[in-house]
Amino acid sequence: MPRSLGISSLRLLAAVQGGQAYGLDLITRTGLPAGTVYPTLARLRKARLVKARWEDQRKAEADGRPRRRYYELTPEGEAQLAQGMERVAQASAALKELAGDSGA
Amino acid sequence: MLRLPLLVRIASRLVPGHQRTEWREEWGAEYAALQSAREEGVDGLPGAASFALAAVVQAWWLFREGWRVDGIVQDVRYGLRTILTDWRLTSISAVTLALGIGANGVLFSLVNGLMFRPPAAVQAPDGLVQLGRSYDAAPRWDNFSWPAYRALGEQVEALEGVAGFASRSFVIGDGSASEPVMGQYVTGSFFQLLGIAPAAGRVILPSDAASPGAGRVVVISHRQWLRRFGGDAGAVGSALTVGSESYEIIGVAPAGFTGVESLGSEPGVWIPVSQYPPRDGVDLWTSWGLSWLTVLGRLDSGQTETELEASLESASRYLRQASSENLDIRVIYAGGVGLDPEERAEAAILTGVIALIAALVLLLACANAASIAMVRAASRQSELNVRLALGAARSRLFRQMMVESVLIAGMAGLLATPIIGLSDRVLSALFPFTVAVSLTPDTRVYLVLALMTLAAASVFGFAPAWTASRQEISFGMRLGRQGGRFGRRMRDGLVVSQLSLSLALLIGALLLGRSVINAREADPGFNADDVRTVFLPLGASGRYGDAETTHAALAAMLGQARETPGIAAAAVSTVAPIAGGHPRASVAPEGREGDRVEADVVSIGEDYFHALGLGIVRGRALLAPEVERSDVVVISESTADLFWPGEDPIGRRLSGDPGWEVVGMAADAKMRSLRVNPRPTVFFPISGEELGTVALHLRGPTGPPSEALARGVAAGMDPQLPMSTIHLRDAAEASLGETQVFGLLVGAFAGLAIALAVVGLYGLVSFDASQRVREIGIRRALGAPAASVVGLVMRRVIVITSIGLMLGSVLGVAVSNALRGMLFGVGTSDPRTLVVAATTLAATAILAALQPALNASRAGVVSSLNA
Repeated sequence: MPRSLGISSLRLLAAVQGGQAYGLDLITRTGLPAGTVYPTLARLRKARLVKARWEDQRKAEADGRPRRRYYELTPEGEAQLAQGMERVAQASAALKELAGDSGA
Repeated sequence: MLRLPLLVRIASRLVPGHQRTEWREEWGAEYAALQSAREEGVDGLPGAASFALAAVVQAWWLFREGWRVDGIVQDVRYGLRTILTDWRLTSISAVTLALGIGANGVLFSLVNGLMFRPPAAVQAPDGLVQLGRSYDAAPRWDNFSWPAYRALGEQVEALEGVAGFASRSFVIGDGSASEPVMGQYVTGSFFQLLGIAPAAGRVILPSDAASPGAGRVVVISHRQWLRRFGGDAGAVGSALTVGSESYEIIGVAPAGFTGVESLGSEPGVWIPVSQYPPRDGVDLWTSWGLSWLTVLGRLDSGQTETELEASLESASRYLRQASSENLDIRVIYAGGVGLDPEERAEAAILTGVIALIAALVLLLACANAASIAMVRAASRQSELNVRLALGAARSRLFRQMMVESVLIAGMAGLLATPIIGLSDRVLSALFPFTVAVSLTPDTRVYLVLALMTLAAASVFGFAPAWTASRQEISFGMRLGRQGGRFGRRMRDGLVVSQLSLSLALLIGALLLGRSVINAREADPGFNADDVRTVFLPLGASGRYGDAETTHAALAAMLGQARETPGIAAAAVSTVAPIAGGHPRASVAPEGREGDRVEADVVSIGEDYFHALGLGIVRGRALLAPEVERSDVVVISESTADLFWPGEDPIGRRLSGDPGWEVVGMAADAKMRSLRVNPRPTVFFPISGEELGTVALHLRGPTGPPSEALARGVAAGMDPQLPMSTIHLRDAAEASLGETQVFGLLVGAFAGLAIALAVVGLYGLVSFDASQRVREIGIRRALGAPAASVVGLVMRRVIVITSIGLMLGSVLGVAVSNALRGMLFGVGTSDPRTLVVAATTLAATAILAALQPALNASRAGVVSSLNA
């Protein structure tokens, strides 16, 4: 992924890392709108930061619902997430410092 | 499984095929999850609409991504490679397409220059309108007199202003630097109305043309400025001889400005209308009856055409009251400038003809490129099969082949670009007319070129790509056959279209060819072979203002000419047959105003009929003293037939003040063009007329006098006069210009079309036979004679040819109707031409097919069974 990830992508990646993530689940967990979540998922998948895996058919049948498509991070995705978190942390620290300076 | 909402199901069609099933399943699960989450009363769930929209957006993204990454680049690279591999076939495609696209592009440059492009250097050309004079009893588009022009300026409220101009030929410069140029007398408002900013100095202003005789100044064209003064700003303020007078150069028109008339030669000078030379006996500035000013106006801002019509209506009423000569006058208008409505109508017809031919050629090129693409697809059958078998999407193969078509068409477009870039030269070489405007292609032309290229690509690329991507895998792999029924029909259809286009073009070419032969063999009615005509621009030189001395000088020169060895006869007239303009005037027999007709008119001097070899059928020619009078005429036979059918016209009178007595009747002759049948013509005596350009006709005893001799005779009168000469036979040939040019063009295209159709048919039959090798082998093994195999193959050829010829004769009718105006001595639906063309083509088609059919029948039985 050439460009650095945006906040929405990072939130999604983080939510995916939480495990057992499918589309609607990611919406409720991140609070992002559906119109952002699904296209971003497709994009992250294309960039090979997440991969999709079909749920076990028997498990789904046991629960009486169609099998879901779960997303999980690829190693590259994990690295990008870590980098992104670092960047956000730095940015947040810089902001705090600025706010502290002007507030003092 | 939960049924997906309709919108989502539709959106799923966007998702690339290999992802589509999984995509639908995933969304099924998501919808199920949404439903159960709702039942559980989970907070923060998306609404139904935003959920469906998210699905659509995702599908769209996948679709776009599929096109992008899935390898348009790869397709282009692969396409270029296959095009280079098949370079023989693909370059034939590209060259024929380039020809078709080029022909269309050149044509469009012409249409663009003449009809679409606003006049150069003119500000806000959209607001310009041209005004015309018409009469209720005899609708027409005519120019205005000076008082009428002045009245229009005051009366037409919807117009911000009006301007007028009159084109004329001038001789500018002194001695050896003198040359004839077109120029325009313009009203003081002309440059301001058009918003012309001068390249140097200033333009002509209303103060320059304030009163008759005022403003001896001239604005020269940018081209003249460069030619005569090398673009030196010092030219402004210097003197330029125009005619015999010296004018002060006050300014230089901006580069590209050629006035507002598209046809005719480019003007080199503009002079205030107040300098317009006076005419004998009429006051230019008060006479309502004259028609010499072309008038245009500019719509006031905020005024609509409805308001313009209303104010023209009131102006018409004003004009009717202003003079009895304006009895039923009507002021009419046409939007834009460049061509007047009559010229527009003619241009539209001519353009229609060329457009039809050009479109046929482009279609033909497309059909040819399509059959080549078919052949290439056939030879790549196994490759396509393997790709299909390995799971390539059909849409992907289709796209791949379309990309190749676009690439080939793109190459054709590139090849056509230089042809189109030279449009102005190509057009001026081909067509016998002069245009003032530049025909150099602009952005619009290149845009159309790009569109045509794309259109061509989709027309010729679609069918082969569709066929090739639709075939059955197993079938294709086993037998190496391609296409199935659809492909077969497609190939047949292509050959049918090639045959029908060939026939249509062949019919057109034959009709034009016969017209040229007919016209050339037809007797023009005068001696075109032995006469050389010299044009003397007396009026433009400005030295021949006095009619009496001019006629004396002419008479002296004619007297000398007749004594000169090598000249059998000499005479002058105002108009030369064929080579000159064709002025018309309305004439009527005395006392029968209702029978008024527009006749061709020419003013002639003594010995005219003798010099031109025009026969006098009845009565006599004008005698020497009579050319000094102005009350006798000679009329042509067709004029006499029109006015006094079956009676002797001699001694009858033509209406006028005081009228003319008919003293002779001349044989009809083709005075306009070899192609145009003789029209009613009236020959007036040249006496007392203000002379513009005089045509001096010199007839040699055998063959025309040499050009040097002719010039020498004319120089005897005035060695300073710039003059041009023409052999009337050449003028006559040139009058066939369009017919000849179109005959050659259509003939060449017909030849190309037939050649392509022959190749197509040969290929089709060979291909067909190769597909049926097994069947033929079995038939032969069972005892079918070779002849029956030939019959089997040929039956299809005959069906295809018949259909092609039938469609072709329908198309041929359209082509020959379009060519109507150029035909001579042959009807548009000439059965003989149709039969000749159809037979030729049928014979050619059968010959082309026979060879491969015979080959098929001769193939060894055993080898064909093993195939």
